[in-house]
Order: sequence, then C-alpha cells, then structure tokens
Amino acid sequence: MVKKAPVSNLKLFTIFFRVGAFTFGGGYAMLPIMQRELVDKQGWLQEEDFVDMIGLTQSAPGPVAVNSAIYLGYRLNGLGGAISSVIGAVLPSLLVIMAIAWALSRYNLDLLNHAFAGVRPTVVSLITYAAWNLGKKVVKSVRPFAMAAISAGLIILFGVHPAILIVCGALLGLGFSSRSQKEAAQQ
Amino acid sequence: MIFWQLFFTFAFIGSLAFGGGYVMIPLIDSQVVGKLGWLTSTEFADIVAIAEMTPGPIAINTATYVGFKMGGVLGSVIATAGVVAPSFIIVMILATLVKRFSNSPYLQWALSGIRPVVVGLIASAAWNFGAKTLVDLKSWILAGVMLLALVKTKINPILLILASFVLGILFF
Repeated sequence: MVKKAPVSNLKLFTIFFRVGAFTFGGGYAMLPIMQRELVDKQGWLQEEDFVDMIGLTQSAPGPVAVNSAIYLGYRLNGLGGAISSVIGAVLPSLLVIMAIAWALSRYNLDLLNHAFAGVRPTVVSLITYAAWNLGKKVVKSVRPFAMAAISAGLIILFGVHPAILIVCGALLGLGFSSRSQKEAAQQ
Repeated sequence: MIFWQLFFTFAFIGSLAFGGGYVMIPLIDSQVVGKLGWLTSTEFADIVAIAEMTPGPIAINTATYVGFKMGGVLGSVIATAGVVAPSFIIVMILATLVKRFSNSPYLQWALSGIRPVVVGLIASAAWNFGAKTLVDLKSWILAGVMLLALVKTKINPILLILASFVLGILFF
C-alpha cells in the first residue's frame, strides 16, 4: 500500500491540469494518467473508488474528465477541492484553444496534423489498458463478465446510451444482491 | 448582454451533455450554428476537427472558441464556466449523496451491478475509437507497442503520449 500523502488544493489543481492537458480522444484515455497520480503515487484512492466514480459521474451530464475532477476533488477535499480540480482540468483546453484560434491565422499547422495522427493509436491503447486494468478488479466471475460483455456489445452494435446501461446495472445489482441475501437468511 | 447569453446558452448545452463527446455535436450545432448564428457551419466543422486533435472535451473546446470569438478572453472564460456549471452542481449532489449513504447496503448492491457495466462501457470506447483509428499496419503496431508498455512497465502514460507525437511526425 502506498503511503497516503496529505491532500492539498494546489496538488489537486496540478494533477488535474496534467490530466486535462493529456486527455485526447474523449475522456477514458485519461484514466491511466489519473490512476497513476491518485492511486499509485499519492495513495489517495483505490482502484474500486475509480470504477464507482465513473459509474456515478457517467449518469450525470458532462465530459468524463470534468465530472471526474469535480467528483474526486470534492471527495478528497470538499468544495475547494472540487473547484481547484475542475479549474485544473479545464484550463489546458482553454489555453490550447485560444492559442490555436490565434495560431491558425498565422501558421501552417501541417506538422501538428502528423503529430496528432501518431497520438490516436496510443489513445486506443490507453483506453484498452483502462478497461483491462479496472476489469481485473471487477470481473471476477461469470456474471460480471457477462454484464460487461453485454454492455459493451449493446453500445458497439446498437449505440445504446451509457446512462441507460448504468441504471440497468444498478437495478440488476439490487436484484441479485437482495435475492442472495434472502437465500442466506433462509439457510 | 452577450456575456449572459454566452453563459446561459452553454449552461443549457452542458445540462444536456449526457454521455459527453460526440453525443453533443448535434446539440451544439442546433444551438450555436442554427439558432444563434454565432458560428458558420464551416467554422463548426473546423472546431470539431480541432477538438479531435487537441486535449479536452469537445463541449469545452467549442465553448472556449465561441466565447473567444464573441467576447474575447472574458467571453471564453464565461462560456466555459457556463458549460461546466450544470455538471458541477449535479456531480456535487451525487457525491454528497454517495458520502451520506456510503454505509447503505442498497448503494453497495447498486454499485456491484454498475461496476461491470462501467468496464463494458470503457471497453466499448476502446473498440469504437480503435475501429476509427487503427486503419493500417503502422497504427496497429504503434497501438500494440504502447499497450505492451502500459501493461508491462510502470512508465508514465504522459511520456507515451509525448513519444507518440514524435513518432507521428516521423512516420505518419
């Protein structure tokens, strides 16, 4: 177990600034970065906290990186933590877009196009790694494996909205657990 | 007042941004291009392309760009604050509820069902992004090498992203 470092708003700001600066290809690619910082290095959270955080924040509106920053910032250091984290997460986009709006009018950005073409395959690896890594913690028997596979299939094949699947997952979880409780009580 | 209008337009967009990302493109399009005429269709297409290349969620990037165009740096900050505000309020309420009921068995049961769905959700994102991105041999090789590096070493993912920039300039 990593030794817990004290939580500070400045630290939260710099961590989420880094997360925001390297979030390419929508949301989930930043999970390995966030895990490294918050779980491995600072020891503020465990992997299970991560999975729960994603499940809960994905049932609210907003981008993954922003919602994660708000949720984790708040859990770790209250309102101040939430504000520091969300400013950190958003500031890189703000600066980059302003710089690009300015630079587009002056320079040819062809080099940038090539650079980003190289980042995209890496984004696939980052997301795959996040799924693998969190999956190891969560998918330990047939039922969770089936639930994960069916959810992924429904999104890939039919474009089912993630929020709907999260609600279904919650209901199934309640159903399964209360049934096994009853069975345990009868024995 | 343009600043009020920026804030509330993007707060409206932010409050409907369930699932994030590409779900929002038609919504932003209808508000910002169609209803208000703050951007032309071409400008919006450019922003979508820029948002794909640069870090940050598309909703944030669009808000920043439109805010900058309509009201300079202050407009940019206000539009971005607007798009984040609904998430901020809702996620804080969620976090408070979770903290309060963290000992409730019902919450734990619900979470036990949500966790596998989350794994499936992330896996589907990897699949969908891969289907768009892994189009030739070199992109497959790059993705494979990076995945191996992530699984087998403790290397900082940020370094892998920076290495990919360099490889992109050299080979893509």
